[in-house]
Amino acid sequence: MDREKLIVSNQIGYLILKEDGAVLESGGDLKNDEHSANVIMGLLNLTESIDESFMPNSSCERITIDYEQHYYSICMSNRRIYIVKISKSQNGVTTTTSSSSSNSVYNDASDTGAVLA
Amino acid sequence: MEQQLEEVLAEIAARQDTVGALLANRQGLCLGTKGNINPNVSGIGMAISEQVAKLEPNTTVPATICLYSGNKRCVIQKDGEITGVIFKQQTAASATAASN
Amino acid sequence: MDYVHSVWSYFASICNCWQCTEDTGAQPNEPNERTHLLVDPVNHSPALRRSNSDGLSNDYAHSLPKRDDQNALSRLVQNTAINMINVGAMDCHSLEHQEYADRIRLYSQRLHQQWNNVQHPSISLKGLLKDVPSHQFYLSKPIFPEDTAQMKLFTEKAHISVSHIQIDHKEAVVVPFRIP
Repeated sequence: MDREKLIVSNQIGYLILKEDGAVLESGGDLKNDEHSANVIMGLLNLTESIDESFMPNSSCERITIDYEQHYYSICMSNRRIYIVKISKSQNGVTTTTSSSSSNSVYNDASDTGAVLA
Repeated sequence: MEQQLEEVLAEIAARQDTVGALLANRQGLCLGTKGNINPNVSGIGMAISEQVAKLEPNTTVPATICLYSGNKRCVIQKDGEITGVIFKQQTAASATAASN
Repeated sequence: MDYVHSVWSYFASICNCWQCTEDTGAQPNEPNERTHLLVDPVNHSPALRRSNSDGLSNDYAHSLPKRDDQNALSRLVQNTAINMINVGAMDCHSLEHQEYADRIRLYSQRLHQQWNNVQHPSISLKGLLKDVPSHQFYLSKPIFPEDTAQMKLFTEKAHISVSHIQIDHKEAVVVPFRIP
C-alpha cells in the first residue's frame, strides 16, 4: 500500500487517466480497473450540458459518486483525469476488504491469501 | 391524478439551498418539476444516472451523483425506474452556517 | 495472419512514400525519412518483362485450338505478374545495425517535432469537467451528506407517488374509427 500514491486521506483506490481514457496510474481498489475507467470516461464525455443557464458545459470542477460505504471523487487537472475512491469510515482498511470483492485486482499478499483460502 | 407527485416535488424543492427538483422516467421523459429547473434536463439527467449505474452494477443502494460548479450543485440519482435531479445553490448565509 | 498484415503494412508504407516524396526535393543519394523503401519497384517487377508471357502464348498458340482461352490465361499471368514486386531481384541497400539505430533515432526525433506542431483537436473543450489548477484541493473537498439524504427521500416518495398516478378518463378511452 505504501508504494502507492496517496492523493487524499481515507483513499482506498485511485485512477489517473489521460484525456482519451488511457490509464496512466492506478492503485488500491481501482488497480488496473479498466472497467471503472471506461464507465467514468463515458460519463465525462457526455457532451450535452446539464442546463446552459444553471451549469454550462465543461464548468464542473468536480463530480462525486456517493455509495453507502464509499464515494468516488473525480476531477481534471492539467488534462489528467483523477479518480479517487474514498472510504467513508475513518479506518479505510476495514472497508477495503469488504468492497474489494467486487471486481478489483489487489496485489497485496495477505489479500491474495484470503481469496485463495 | 399526479397531485401526490406535485406535493413531493414541492416538499423537496422547498428545502435549504434547493433551486429546483425534477423527476424523470426510464425513457428520460420529465414526469414533473418544481422550482427553477428546465424540464429538458430530464434527458441528460437520465443519461448521466444510467451511465453511473454501470460503475457498480451489483450494488443494492443506488449511487448519488453530484456535480459541483462554484457554489452550485447538481444532484442526480437513479432509483429503479425513476431518476431524480435536484439543483442546489449554496447561499452566503448557509455557507457560514455550515462552517460553524 | 500476422504475416499477411505485416506484408500489407509494408506495401502501404511504400504507397505512402510514393505520395509524399515528390515535392521534397531531397538529394536522391542521401536516404532520409521520405526515401522509397524500394527504388522504383515497377521497373524491377517481372510484369514489365511482357515479352516472356507473350512468347509463352505464341509458343503454345498452334497447339491449342481455343485461342480465347489462351488469351484469358495469358492475361491472368500478366495481371498476376503486374501485382508482384520481386524484392529479392532489387538492389536493396542493406543497413548496418548502427546506421539502422541512428535512423530510428533521427526519424522518431523528426516525428516528435512534427507532432508538436500539429494542432491537436482534443484540446477543444468538451465533456462535463473543466480543467482545475489543483486536483488535490478539489478531490479532498468533503461531500454533502444532506444531498444524498434529500435525494433518498425524494426518490422514495417519488416511487410511491408515481405508482399512484392514474388516468381519470372522462370520455371513452377506446374510440371506434368511423370506417364506412
